[in-house]
Amino acid sequence: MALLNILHHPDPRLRTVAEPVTIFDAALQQFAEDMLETMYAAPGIGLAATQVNVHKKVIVIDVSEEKDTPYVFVNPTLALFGEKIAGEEGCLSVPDYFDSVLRSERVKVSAVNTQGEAFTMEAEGLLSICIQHECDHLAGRLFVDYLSTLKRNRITKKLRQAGA
Amino acid sequence: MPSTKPSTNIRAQVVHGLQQITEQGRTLDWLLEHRSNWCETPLQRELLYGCARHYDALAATIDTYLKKPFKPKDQDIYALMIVGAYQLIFMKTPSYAAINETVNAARVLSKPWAKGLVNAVLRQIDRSIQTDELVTSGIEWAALCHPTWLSQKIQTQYPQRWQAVLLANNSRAPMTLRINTPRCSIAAYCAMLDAAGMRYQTTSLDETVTLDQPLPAEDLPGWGEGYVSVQDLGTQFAAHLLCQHLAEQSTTAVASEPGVPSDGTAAGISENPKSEPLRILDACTAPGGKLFHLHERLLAKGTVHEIVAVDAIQKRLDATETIGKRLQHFNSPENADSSGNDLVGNIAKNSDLTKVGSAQTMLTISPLQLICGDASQDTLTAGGEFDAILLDAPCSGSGTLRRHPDMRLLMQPEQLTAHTELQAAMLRNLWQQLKPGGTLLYVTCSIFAEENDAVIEQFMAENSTACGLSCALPHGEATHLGWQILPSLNGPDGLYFCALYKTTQQ
Repeated sequence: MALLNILHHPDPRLRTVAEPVTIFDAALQQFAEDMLETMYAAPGIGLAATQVNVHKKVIVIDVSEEKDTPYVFVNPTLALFGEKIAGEEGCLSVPDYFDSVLRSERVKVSAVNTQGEAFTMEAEGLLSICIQHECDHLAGRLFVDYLSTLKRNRITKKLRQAGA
Repeated sequence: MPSTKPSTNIRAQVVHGLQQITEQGRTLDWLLEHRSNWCETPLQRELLYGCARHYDALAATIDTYLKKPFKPKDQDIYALMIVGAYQLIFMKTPSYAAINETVNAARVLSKPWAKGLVNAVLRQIDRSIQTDELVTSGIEWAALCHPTWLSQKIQTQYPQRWQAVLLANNSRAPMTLRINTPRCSIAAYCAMLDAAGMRYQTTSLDETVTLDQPLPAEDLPGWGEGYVSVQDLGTQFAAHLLCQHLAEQSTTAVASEPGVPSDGTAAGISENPKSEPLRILDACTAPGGKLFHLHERLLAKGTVHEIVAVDAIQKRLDATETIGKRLQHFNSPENADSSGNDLVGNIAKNSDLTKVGSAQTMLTISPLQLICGDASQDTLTAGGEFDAILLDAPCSGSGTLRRHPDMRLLMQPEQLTAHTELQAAMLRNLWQQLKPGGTLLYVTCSIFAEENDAVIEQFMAENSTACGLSCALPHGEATHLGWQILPSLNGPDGLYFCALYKTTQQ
């Protein structure tokens, strides 16, 4: 097990579009476990491979209070349902910033697990928001992209100063 | 995504806490343990406890200004209005600040659309306070703060005194201290309180004082040294009543019937040091307040009895042990000598209080066993029957509503049946383990007759060996079979006591 290093906005590597996973081996299993460990340690409820500079389609999520319900989605694709609802979001790659983002109320995910077995799952509430947020990372998108240019520029500037 | 926004808005945190209680059925104790950051500051605790205490009445006030109820997903805004209304009515925050802060919290809850509504409702409440239209101190408000079934039940059972009970339930419980007299004399501890500038009042019990201003227990002088415990005055009568009956038992060991003990002072114990050690059972011990008090009373009298303390939940038993260790109830004599009594001795020298010296001789600690077991079914020890049993039965806790303001929101009338069944089962099982000639003291912190006289009456009807002993305490009044203390402003919690004597003939 190892903690992975999380990239911070405005790192250009966060804009990389991830490739699908094609090899399902022990290394993938280990990587998923490391991602979960990194997420729990942050502490976080979701993490995308992009955020730890691995540009493969892998996300891990655990929104349970007891931190005992981890999900690993490999090569996820989403179908969105329901109204758009505003919810407060933050991001481990945009530390200490929170703002309201519109997301679909419900989501259906089709993905495979680390053994390459396909499954589908429906989610709503926080889990739905989190899945959409993490899948955005795989496409090189961040939640600040949904904010006004003014807000985004202000956050980018502050984080650039903090990182410099 | 990060797990939670490190919300700095206290009102939003209190809203989450309140929702845990009203929607998830959690208790304030659960919040203190699992969401400690929501209850960290005095303001947070004041808001949480206050909003729970006045929830129903605040909700009724807010409802008069709302055209339609909130959707389930917007209950957080409703809870936020409760928090705002509580501040306006009960706290000294200037109203513009209270309203402004509460309105801003709607944004933190990601519901900026609600800002106008929250503002409008709170301003109307503020206006009705200014014009004295809203009265929040009298009995009507206190009654509104109880669920209807509960206030009606209290009214039916106490037609003369229900108003005082409801008002007491809405008050804040006083902080009452029990001085660990074998470790630190009363005079020495009072001197420590004086030195710390803490004002207190004496009570009807020598070893007990009530503080004028509550404070965190850890900040009490001598807390770490185990000189003091926090325990309600009413519950402290349990140890005294038991000591009284033990004294009767050891002095009149072979007498047939103890009759009616009129003014049983516990002095009889020390006058009879050669009597056989008695076996005492505390059947539902955790968190051990009554157990350690009893032990302290026995230590102070220099009497050694064997005490077995039982609780059904190991975790609670572990917590009890921790408390007992702080109070030095398990220490070996050498330990007690070098740590506890030396300290007491030093204080004695410093404050020139001669009485403290007597603590030096009190080194003999009764054998005290903690056992995990269920008092309603198990045979609790292999060591034979007990001379005295303390049954502090699980109950609705209806006498302690002021200490647990969340309870009135969580209590359900149906729960009473489960309590009374368990109480009866425990009585039946423990009675088998009581020696003929022994005494069982039945205690609840309930004011409902169903859990008190009714349980005893049923039990006595089934058991010809059970015979009621009279109790007389400085607070409360005699009931048909026992003694009932009702909660009162600055007085003890609501409690019920009934002592049963086991006759020798079948």
